[in-house]
Amino acid sequence: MVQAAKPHGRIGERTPQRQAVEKAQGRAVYVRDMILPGMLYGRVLRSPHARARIINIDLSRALSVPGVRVIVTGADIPPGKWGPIVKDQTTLARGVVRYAGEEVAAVAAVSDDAAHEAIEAIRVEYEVERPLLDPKQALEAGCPRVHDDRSNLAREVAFSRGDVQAGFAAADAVYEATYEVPYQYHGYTEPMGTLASPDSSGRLTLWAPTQSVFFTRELVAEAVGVPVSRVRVIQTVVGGAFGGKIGEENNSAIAALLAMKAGHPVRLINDRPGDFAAARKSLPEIITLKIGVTRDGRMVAKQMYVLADNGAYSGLAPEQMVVTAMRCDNLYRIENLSTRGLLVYTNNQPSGTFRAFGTQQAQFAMDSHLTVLANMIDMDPVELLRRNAIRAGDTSVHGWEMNSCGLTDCINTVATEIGWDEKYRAAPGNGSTRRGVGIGIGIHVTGNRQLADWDGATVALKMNEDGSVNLISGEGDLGQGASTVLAELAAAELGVCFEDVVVSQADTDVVPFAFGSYASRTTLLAGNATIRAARMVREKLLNMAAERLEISESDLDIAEGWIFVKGSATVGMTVAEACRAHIFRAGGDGIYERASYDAPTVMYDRKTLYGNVAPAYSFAAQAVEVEVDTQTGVVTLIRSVVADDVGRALNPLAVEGQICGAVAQGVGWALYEDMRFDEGRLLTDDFRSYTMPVAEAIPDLQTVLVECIEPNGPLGAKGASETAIVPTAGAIANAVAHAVGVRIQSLPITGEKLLDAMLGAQTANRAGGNNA
Amino acid sequence: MHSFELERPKRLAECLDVLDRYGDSAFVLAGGTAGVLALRQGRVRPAVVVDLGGIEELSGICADTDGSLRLGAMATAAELGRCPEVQGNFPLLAATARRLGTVAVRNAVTVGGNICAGMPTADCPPTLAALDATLTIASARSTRQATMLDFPIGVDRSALDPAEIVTEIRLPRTSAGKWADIVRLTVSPADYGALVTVAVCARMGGTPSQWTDVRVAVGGARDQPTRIHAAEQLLEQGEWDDSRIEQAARLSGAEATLSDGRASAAHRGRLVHVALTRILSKARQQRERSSGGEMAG
Repeated sequence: MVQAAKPHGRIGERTPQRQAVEKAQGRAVYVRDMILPGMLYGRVLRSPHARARIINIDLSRALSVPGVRVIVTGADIPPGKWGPIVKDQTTLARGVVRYAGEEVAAVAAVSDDAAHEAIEAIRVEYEVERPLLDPKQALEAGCPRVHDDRSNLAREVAFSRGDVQAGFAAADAVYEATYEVPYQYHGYTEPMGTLASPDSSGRLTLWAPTQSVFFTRELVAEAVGVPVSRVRVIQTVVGGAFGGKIGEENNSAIAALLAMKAGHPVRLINDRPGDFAAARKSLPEIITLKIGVTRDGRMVAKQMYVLADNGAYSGLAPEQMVVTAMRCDNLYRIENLSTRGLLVYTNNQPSGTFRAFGTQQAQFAMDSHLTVLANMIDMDPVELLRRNAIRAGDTSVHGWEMNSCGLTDCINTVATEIGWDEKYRAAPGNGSTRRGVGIGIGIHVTGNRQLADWDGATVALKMNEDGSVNLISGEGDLGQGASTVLAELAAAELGVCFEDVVVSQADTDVVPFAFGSYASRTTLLAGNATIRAARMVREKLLNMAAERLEISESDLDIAEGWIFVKGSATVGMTVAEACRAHIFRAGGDGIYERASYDAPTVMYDRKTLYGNVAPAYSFAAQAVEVEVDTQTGVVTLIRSVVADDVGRALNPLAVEGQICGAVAQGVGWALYEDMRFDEGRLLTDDFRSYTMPVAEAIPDLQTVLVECIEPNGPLGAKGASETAIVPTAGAIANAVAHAVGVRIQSLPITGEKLLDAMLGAQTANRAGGNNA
Repeated sequence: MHSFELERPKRLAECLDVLDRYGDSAFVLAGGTAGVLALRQGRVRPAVVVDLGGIEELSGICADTDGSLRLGAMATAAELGRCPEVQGNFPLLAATARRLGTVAVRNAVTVGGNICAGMPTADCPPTLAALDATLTIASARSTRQATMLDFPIGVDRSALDPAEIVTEIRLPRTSAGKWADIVRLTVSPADYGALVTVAVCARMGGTPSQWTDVRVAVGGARDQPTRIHAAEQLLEQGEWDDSRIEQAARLSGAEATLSDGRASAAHRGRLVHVALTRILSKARQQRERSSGGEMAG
């Protein structure tokens, strides 16, 4: 653990995010607000077909549209393919389109209108083929391939622990069911966009709301065929990301291609329908689960089969399928399990990174399943969870080391807060509306070695002559508050004012290498690096002051920018004076320190998936109460309580914001967001038809922070942005089942689906003479 | 959004001339809640947008001496919802206007725009059908009248020629002061658009079992609002007891044929059934309580 010398300053206070006011006032500059001299406007032509051969692209009419400067197609891209894990994608379609929405051509013109007109004037001749849309069918022998050069099986894992057959033999109750989860679109306020500008030598600078400037630099360099040194990426203010801006899709690469060919800056902003199509939405999966428990509620065997729809291109989906296949196991003290997971290419839109990275898919199934099993053995579901919950000090079945774990506290807290004991036992009633309660739990990694077998962060601190600090880091800020928290940590450790810490933009030319913001990693990894660097700066400051004041360093302390003699607050010098003195003494060399932190973790074994991949794990439990209108099937969420073990909450305001946002997103996935397709074409590509939760559709969300101090965390903190989406869908499905006695195993739980199931159950009961 | 010429006529005659001149290439913008979205998404790319917002003659709500109420086509939902004349004599329309969309939408959406935007689930058409409303449709060359029922709103199309606009909607005196109620069901609390709307109005007879001039209008069950004549007749024939209510609801639900991604025809039918049952049961309860006295709509 990197222990801070002086945990004070803003730590633990509800400090508003640094950009909150400028965002609220409309002053924040997003990439859409940026204009460069000579800038052109980009637009993309997307395939209307899920699977087709491109016979011919006729640009003649489009090129004659006044104001059009360049048009690029698959003929203009360098040979080869790129991709974060599997090299299976090209920046523009080359000869073949594999999903409806794939980028076929792009235009840069002097106005957006001219670009639009040119896009509509491009004539593409397609030979339409029958799309492969069913992942089960994609696995059948003799099925056509999505990619000629690779099988439809994009990734497969199979592993077992303990003795699953013996486990089932020892079980008193065994239950098997299949669950189905759909895509979810990130629904950020700001669609993806990039401004790409070539300098006179042709070197490219890109401004984009990316989650990782270095991932984007690598993908752009690979996509346009230049070394990374020829590309500079600067993060703009990010209008939400949730995984969707991690660098799986083509927006930045296309902007770069257009700018290089035009020799002018090009701004390419996805329109909303285009963003819906191209964003790597969360992984749709079919999960078959079989679990055995003993009469006293011990989970003794688990068998799981995951079939995940990769869509046309892989992105980071292979790692997400792995997460689905194994992460939920780490919540329980389970010993016997056997899992097989398949990720399959189809002609559906590509899936990819989304908040919680594949965890929630399996957890929806687990939470649903365990409530059913609890009923089968006449045990309260909360008690069943308590008996199986993993605890601090445990090493999970997959080798994850639980240094801190507040799962049991979280379960107990939400049960108490929602009034579980009374509500769970209450009779369902016979009115036209019925209420029910449900519970779910969740886990998430804080950082993850899984993507690169390396998981650290580097932070540099540069002291200015006025005593202020530049915190130089490439981790960036997605709006979750990373830069606010890093500034808090630097200020607290250095003894300067929070307002005097300036956090840099993530800029690949300036900042140390960084992975960026994903896997809830920034607070812990960059936070620890910040504390280390601050400690080095502090030493230099004290050293300088000791020399000037002719006093021993150990007699000095720093607070609020003032270096003082302990016990005599009036004798001393300012941090600014010490910084200036250092510059003059060292011949212009100011205080500039850099430190790294590499998480003490191991890469998992690629076959068995065993290994402690993260330095810390966050936990959550959620209890919800729903009301079901039994005549219309509509489910209304009445109440939600989340208890989240986030380690020490460095900024409770930011943490609660992340938790509530995660829950709202989970509610949308569970109840409201219904992504509909026709032959692979997305029908619901605007916010009128894709109904994300509006404020009125979400009750006041209650949050309880369970602060289990994490030894590896900066001041004990862990990740807080993703865990709370994990339990939501299962908790809601359980509450619906509690209210009306019918369980929906496919999301979203729409009124029509629920009413169909309720009427079906009634018919079945009548037929069986069983009066429910 | 693409570039276009914006015409903002001040007078109706000027507006009709503009439409006559541009024909198909003009796009009429009323409140803009549907039209601006269509423009932004590029679903329409007109050369000319004609904004009706500046035409005084299209605005306002006023009662005529004959007891009818004239709604300017550009009257907003917010105006309808707070207008004393509407609240007093046509509570069905006031209730419709107050439930439509969100505050921001209600401040912008107009009654004329709502019926011309080509949405089978639009809120105003069933209510106007129940109230026997007459639409005035004008072009530079002629003016004609239509009822809401012979004005098929369809899916992304309306019954208007390119040079025509709806200028006003008239609610007849015969519909004033009727008891009325509306139930609007949505897919979920996150969806502001109606899935199914049922609007009912009727006049109370002298005895508790007597109802006359019953209108049952359904929106969202077909491509256009539908009056359920069989249910209306049934409800005029006697007391609204459980079996009559059930029969009327079943007849109404059976009318649903619209099936799309939001809901199947079968589910829409179930919802129409539920909505009408709720309206009629509440009416019966209210009437029983007030035992023949005045009843608020």
